[in-house]
Amino acid sequence: MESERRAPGDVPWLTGGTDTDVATLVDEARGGSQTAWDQLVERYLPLVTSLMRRYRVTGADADDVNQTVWLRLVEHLDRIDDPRALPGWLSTVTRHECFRIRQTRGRSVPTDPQTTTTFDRPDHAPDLLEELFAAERHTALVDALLELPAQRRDLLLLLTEDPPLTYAEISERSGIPIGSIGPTRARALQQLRRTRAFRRLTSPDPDGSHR
Amino acid sequence: MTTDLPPEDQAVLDDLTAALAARRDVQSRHREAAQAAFTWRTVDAELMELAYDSLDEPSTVRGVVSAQPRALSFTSRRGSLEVEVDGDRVRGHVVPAAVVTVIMTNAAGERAEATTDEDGMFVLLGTLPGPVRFTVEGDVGGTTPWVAL
Repeated sequence: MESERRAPGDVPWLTGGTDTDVATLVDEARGGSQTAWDQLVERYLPLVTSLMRRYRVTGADADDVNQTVWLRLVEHLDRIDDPRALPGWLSTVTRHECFRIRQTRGRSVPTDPQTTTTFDRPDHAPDLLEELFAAERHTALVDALLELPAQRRDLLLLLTEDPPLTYAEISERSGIPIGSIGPTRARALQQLRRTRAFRRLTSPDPDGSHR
Repeated sequence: MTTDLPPEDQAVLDDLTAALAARRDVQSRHREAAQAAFTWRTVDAELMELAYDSLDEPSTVRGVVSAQPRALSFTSRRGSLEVEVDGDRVRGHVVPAAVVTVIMTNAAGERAEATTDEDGMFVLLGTLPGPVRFTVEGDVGGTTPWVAL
């Protein structure tokens, strides 16, 4: 159905520009730019969401944690010395708030005191780092996708739909003949791997952000 | 439907699928709340720090105090604010003691306020949904970080 076709303009996280790095977004948000703030949200909200899911914080509790994290970041904006530390800061705050809200619920439903968990070092927890690295990789891949020409980007979006689409559906939505989808996909992926965002991701120590 | 890709291309496609799944996973109400948070940006507020939260106590201690109210302590260069959340009331104490107004606000802009007595004590009746922050007016004043009570 043509009406179901996913146009890039309908996808909030595809509206950001590729050349706007995090430092610039932080600077602009400090200057009061809601647009820059919204782009920071698009960039890091998946990380916050995945952490809340990992810590099994859902429903109204997730709403509270999510809102607290972003309100904290608004307060924290002027104190960010190194924007590369932002994902780590967000992860730590999210994890901490998930922990606190579970404590609060544990207190109000005092039937199972054994389920409380103590986190020794929130900043260095292995599961946190795992989520953080996955999020950085994902962000880079989305940036890489944004560097592609629209037609190839749209094809890759269709190829990554969940649940997967058939070639017939992809052909119908993209206008690419079925026989050309395979070769076009291969070219799109090769082009993706040549993007600046992807090369930064795969170079040994791209910008020190993992150090 | 899938024809074979070279392994390295397939790996990139798999990663990309995971990346996009994580983005599609985001709930729109979380996006809206995150975007709306920016309206609370205040450049020149005197920010108090969260110095203590009873929820952060180690579990052994917490086991003993778990029946106690949630207690929070905020400090700034000028003074401190202690609050205790007990059911649907918030009791508090401003140091150094002064007669000042204390305001509790949530992100929806709902507020509750109270005036301290001459010992700096106050009681806010009622709680607000979602995270809140406290503002102490006057010389001791400041605004706390947002906390989910």
